[in-house]
Amino acid sequence: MSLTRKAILLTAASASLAFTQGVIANEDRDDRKSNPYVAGDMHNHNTCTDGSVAAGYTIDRAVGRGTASAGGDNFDLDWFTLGNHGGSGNRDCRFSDTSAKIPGQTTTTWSQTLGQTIDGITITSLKGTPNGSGTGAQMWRWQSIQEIEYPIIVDRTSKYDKVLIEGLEWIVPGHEHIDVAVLTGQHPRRKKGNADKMAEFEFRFDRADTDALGPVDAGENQIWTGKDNVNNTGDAGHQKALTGVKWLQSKYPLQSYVIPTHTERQGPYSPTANRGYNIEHFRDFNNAGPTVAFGIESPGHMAEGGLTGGSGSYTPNAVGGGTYGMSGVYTAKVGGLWDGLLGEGRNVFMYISSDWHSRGAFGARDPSTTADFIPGEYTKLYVPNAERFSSHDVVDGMRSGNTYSVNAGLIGADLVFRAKGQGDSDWKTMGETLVVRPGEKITVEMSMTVPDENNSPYTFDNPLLAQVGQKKPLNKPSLDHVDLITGNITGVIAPGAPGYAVANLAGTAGAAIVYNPSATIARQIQASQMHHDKKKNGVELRFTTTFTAGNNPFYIRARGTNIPLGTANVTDSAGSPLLDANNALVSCTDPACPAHLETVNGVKKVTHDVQAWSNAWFYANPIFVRLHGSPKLLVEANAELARSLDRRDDHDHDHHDHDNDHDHH
Amino acid sequence: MNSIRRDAEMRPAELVRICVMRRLACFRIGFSALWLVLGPGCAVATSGAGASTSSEPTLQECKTAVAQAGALAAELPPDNVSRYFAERHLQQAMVEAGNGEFDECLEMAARAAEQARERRHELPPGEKLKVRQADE
Repeated sequence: MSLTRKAILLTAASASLAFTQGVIANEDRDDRKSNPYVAGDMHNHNTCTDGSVAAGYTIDRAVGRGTASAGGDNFDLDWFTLGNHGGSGNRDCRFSDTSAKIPGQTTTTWSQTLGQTIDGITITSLKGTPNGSGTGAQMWRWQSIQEIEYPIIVDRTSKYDKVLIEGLEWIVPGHEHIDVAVLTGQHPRRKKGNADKMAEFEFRFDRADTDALGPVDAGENQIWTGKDNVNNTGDAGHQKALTGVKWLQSKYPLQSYVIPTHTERQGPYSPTANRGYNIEHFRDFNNAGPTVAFGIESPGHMAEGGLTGGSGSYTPNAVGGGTYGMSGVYTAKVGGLWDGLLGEGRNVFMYISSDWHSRGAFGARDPSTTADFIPGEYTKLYVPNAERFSSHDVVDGMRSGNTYSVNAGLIGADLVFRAKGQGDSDWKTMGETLVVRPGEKITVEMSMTVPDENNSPYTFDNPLLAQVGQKKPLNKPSLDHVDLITGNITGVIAPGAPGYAVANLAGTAGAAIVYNPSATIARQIQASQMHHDKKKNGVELRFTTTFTAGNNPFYIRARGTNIPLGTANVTDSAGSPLLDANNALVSCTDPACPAHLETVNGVKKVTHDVQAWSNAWFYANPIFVRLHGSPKLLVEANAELARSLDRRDDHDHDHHDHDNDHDHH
Repeated sequence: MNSIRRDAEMRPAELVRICVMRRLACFRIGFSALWLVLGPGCAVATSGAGASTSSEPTLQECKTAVAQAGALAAELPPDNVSRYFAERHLQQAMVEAGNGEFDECLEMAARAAEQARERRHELPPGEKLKVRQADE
């Protein structure tokens, strides 16, 4: 896709009115160049850490088109953030692992390649504090970010003309993991720049990076001084994590993000260990970084589900006991942790990514997987498109909340989800706030295209739907209904005030915790009741509904699925997803059900990638509503803070650091 | 820095071993290959690195769990599909250890042990698990 030839599209969330109306009227909306949103992935791995394929190979498969030269589909994402772990690694990530079964690729360690020029990159030494020896000699991640991954980002940016970003999956002191990116210094489109700021963050704040030295100057003097290499655990670790968030907020308030990921996986937070997140930690992060810590990412690893769960790489000890409709319970539960944060009016938005490591039992070129999907294959995070779409549009879009997350290709790149008041022409979209009067009618409009096909390799009927008599091939997405979920906004809870910290629980007991009791499925719209229009590559569905403003602020968020209400072992009577481990109680009886599914008494069960393709959901971020004359919500205040920082940035050209041949503002 | 370069010199014998093991990876992953993924000096940060104050799982616990799960898997016939799945989990366990993520190493080792004990994968007569090999 030639990004420079795109029509002028959404340049700011507040400009959505004319644009979305135009899109709805546009018969050519399926044309990708005019898509209002673009798809990406920000969380994935390679052999620099615990992935199975080379850093370049992941990018090739994620953003390339057609078929990879050695086989396997490419997935043509519009943007890609290389979000790999911090710490260190002993494998040379210019090579894929033997287990990936890619021709000519064998597991290769740094010890085997030092001094050689490979892919135009020469590594002469492993820098920093020596770490391991022989084949176990490790390269600290700050070095591989600077000297391996960023040069590969530069190379692939020109090759594909896509937006590529060097990021990080931060191994967080006191917690588990967080997606981070620092754009500052990265100019891959200009074939220059560096990821030094990203690397410095990793060195300073990743608890797996215990290097005490970091890079040195010509005089062997330490460049990044003052690292806290002690407080990496429990409550002290959380404080160090907050220091990291504040570091980003103070230095890169518009050029970085901090998004906790698979946050339920390791169970509740422990004050003496490194695991989990309770609601107070999200609040702490958002308070410390109002323009950088604005979200939560639902888990990847969607094909790991077996007979006793495992999708999302969640064990029964995760908060919630596993995933629900392939999402963690924090985001999947109506009234859950996310609704608790939205109930404060906070700018905390939901995102999703692949968490690609490997295909489990399979090689990287196989169409099946028992572990992860390649970025763009199953999971897509949509952010607003823009003229000459850039890395800053990715971060600006994420920060705005005008994004949505889609699994299994359930809907495409043209979601319209917006609201306006009575007699008002000013539509507000995801992440924005509509201001109305008590009793005023609020019109909510939604449209989306269900594509004719997704990337599933399976053409047999969805076994979860077959049990209720529906014949829906797994490679042809279908939408059953959309939920509009509302919740009251009762104001920001101050640190230390009652309700700020909420004790959490491992397992299914954690799913019982209600953080926002007012949250409810306020409207449920069956696809059969929506207006249908056949488009070039799918079917557009749309509907309009109304709400009446009361006396209190609230929010409206949306989700959709292919699964009807009350589907045995999949959804409850209200339509909410059940614990995904239950899916494995359903048999896969079609003769085409693949050999890698887990079995009970010789009968294949809905597990692994078949489970993921069968149980499909999308999530759209909230539209906020408040009354005229009422105090602004925190989401508005933080959006204004971002705008004021941007204006300040405009006045200080030294701070401009965009990788564009234009000013995107 | 010279001492680092000396430690990390290339070892051709290791390369030969990987290439040999590649052909066996279809249904059996040799632990010598896993050892390369992890490396003998893995995560042994020498003096100068920050001291860990964590009570997190250790490399030794990871190695023990992998060895135990590997022994369970080895009790299954070499061509047993559940053994293959278990050994793929063990491969990932060692990769996680190589990245210093010993908790995830333990998790993958537990999955391998579960797979081997419960034989969760079973192929009916005539059905095969088709995994594309590097030379295909």
